[in-house]
Amino acid sequence: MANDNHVLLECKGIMKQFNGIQVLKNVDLEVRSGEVHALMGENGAGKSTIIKIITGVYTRDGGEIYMDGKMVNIQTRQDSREAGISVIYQELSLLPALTVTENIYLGQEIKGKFGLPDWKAMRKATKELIDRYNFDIDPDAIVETLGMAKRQMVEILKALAVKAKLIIMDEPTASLAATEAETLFNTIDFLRSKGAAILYISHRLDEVYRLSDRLTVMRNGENVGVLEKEEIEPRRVIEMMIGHKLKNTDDYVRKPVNDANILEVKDLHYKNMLKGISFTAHGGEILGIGGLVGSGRTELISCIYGALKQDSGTITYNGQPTSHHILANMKKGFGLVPEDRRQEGFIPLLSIQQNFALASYDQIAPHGVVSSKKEIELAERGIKDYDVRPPMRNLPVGNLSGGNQQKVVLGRWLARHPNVLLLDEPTAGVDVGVRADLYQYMRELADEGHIVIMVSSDLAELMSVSDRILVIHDGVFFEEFMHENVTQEAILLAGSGVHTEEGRALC
Amino acid sequence: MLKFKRFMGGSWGQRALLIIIIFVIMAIGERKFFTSANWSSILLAIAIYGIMACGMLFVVLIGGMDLSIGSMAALSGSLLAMNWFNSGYTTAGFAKGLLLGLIAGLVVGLLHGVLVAYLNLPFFVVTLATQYLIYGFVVYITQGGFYYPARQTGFDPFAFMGNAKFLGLAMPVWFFIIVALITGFILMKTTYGRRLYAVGGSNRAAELVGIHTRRHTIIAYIICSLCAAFAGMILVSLNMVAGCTTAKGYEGTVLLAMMVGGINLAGGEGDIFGAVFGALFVGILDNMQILLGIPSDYNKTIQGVIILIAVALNVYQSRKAAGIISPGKARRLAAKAAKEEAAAAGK
Repeated sequence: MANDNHVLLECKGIMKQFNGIQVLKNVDLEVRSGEVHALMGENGAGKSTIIKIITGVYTRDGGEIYMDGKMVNIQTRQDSREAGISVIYQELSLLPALTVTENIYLGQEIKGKFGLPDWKAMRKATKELIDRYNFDIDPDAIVETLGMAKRQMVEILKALAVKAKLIIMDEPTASLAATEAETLFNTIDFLRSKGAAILYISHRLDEVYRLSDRLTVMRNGENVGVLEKEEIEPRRVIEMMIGHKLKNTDDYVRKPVNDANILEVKDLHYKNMLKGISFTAHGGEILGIGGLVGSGRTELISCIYGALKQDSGTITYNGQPTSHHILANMKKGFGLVPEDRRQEGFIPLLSIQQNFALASYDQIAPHGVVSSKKEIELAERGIKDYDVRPPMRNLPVGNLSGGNQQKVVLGRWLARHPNVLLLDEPTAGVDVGVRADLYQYMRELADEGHIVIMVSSDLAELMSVSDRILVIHDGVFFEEFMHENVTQEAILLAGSGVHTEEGRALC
Repeated sequence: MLKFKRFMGGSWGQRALLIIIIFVIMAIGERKFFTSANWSSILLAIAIYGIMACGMLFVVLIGGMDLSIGSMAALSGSLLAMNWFNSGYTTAGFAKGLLLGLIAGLVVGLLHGVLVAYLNLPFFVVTLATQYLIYGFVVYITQGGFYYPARQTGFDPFAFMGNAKFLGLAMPVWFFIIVALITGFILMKTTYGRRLYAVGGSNRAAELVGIHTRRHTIIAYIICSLCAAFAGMILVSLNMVAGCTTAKGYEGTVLLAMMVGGINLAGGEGDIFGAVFGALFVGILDNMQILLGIPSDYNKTIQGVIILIAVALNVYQSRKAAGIISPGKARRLAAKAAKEEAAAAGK
């Protein structure tokens, strides 16, 4: 049975549209038994959508799905489970207070006498399963006490307990440390040797090379090709993901930097995410920071801002060490536009006026008493300067569109003309029109001689907006790119730990 | 103008309606309701609840709650009455009692704040525990008994606090007006008050704009306990009796006032108008129950029903505002969409 490599899952011509936008265009996908099949593509390429169709979260608009050659009509999650498909999501779905056995059989308990759950039988079955797959897990352990890697094993056991033929793993290493990830890879190797089929979704190239037998690349809702193991090669995969070599073609003029305004970071360490980051940012430039999601970019700018305390290393602004208190750094002219706008950026219940005021009470309330006149002025000016719509200062920010919310968050800082503005994914969930405005505001600030540091996962944005790009890989800056010669492909390669011609190697 | 609109519009309209309904019931049921004697007693109740509600507002705005305010009032009231009584009714004894009562408020508030903000203990557990703790302490210092200070001839500072009148209004009402004005000023005009809304609206976002969320939390709990201590001292002066049953259960009534006043118990939303309105409501409610001769056994039942109605109204409104529809309606809409789709496919 093992390694017979017959076609297990076959999707033919899957179509899906949302609100009139075709997100999947005739997608074919084929997974064989006994293989680890990787699915790659940029954000928005349609990876998640096809997975959700296979698992019955979304219903497809067209196309057919076959399991073991038989057509299956997957409309609900239940249909998908019955067809033998199990998913392990990024956020694990285990109940922390229950034991391993209880979690595995939750909702599918083996019934004994009088229809009561037969825990003995379930425990025995769990033990057998663990022995068969040689996992190092105690069936009676409380899930809360297990590390992330072990929890993932429990998820896998859960899939195996229902005799899943296909296990889908969606970014399984996102929450794992390096050693834990290696344990997971060994588990995956072992499952493969037992004949299981695994559909592996990841944007980490190194993992994909390490694991996959075959690889499907998606781009703009289409399957752009399947590579056999011997064909998998970084540059080729990335070319397929991006489609064409994108270069900055605008008539870019590099402006001189302002050396009177310098932020210097030396040998910064934070947990096991940042392992000796060093760089210098100059006034007058927009410094882009690239790298994979979870590579420590957010932690880096949080340390600079004072929201996190680094384990070691120094951060100096114009020769002075920065503080570990946000307020002290704010007074020196630091500002942060955080990644999670809704949770961290603004206060949804408060009005535009009050949200603008939040960072500037030192200016509008010099003795602790707010001057209504100055507060209204600040809000009116902010709304006008940053074109917040609708221009009603008493409207709660929670009621604005994503783009306008971001204008309030950014505008709140820009109104202070910050010396160092840190931005984390500034245009996530912001529509195209507003994006251009945000870029313009950032550029204007840099032109005033201030430092602008932007973390972004949007390659096109990173390339076109930044004067200089530093790409993080494995906790250190790996390569540096200049606006004139950066390509999307090169940023992706550097983020995966492959040196490029376009960039300057930093380690 | 905007404030007036906010007072009358939206959910305020409903609340005004509620008050009118109560007035009508009162007018039909009991002629005494509109007598001036009755109104002065209503105002006194409103004043005590109101001062406590002002303090509670600070804590509720940051997403907390203080269940110990009833016990706190009993403690400060007992300290005042004891010292006044034991000193042989000297001004020094009165001043000492007043000071001790306020210090007790400060200490309890500080304790709450530190436990909640720095040790991250749930406010519910912390303030429930101190409610019992303080109550037990009051029983201990009063030896389970009650103090009935006698009226003094000449100037009697103790009786003055609760019973004197100024411009036709009783002192407690004046105290309430002053506390409400100060509260309104702090919340609307000072950076501290403004930042409280941010802390309650989103703690993380508040931290990231440099707000010391812990410091704000501690100060809010201190203000709350101080208000409760102050209200407790006025209350014992008003009733001329102090002991462990003083203000017992007032935390429930004050929370009811918060809910009726449209103050979001999850934090970040509410203002002084809501607290004042809530105090008015519970004050009138108390009076209604007495005047209509509703046995006091049913008081809690009525309060419970009103809490449920107030919460249901709030939830309904916020759902409506957020565009959330009931499961039944969702099913009907889905069925309708499916039917239309089938009809379209049929063509």
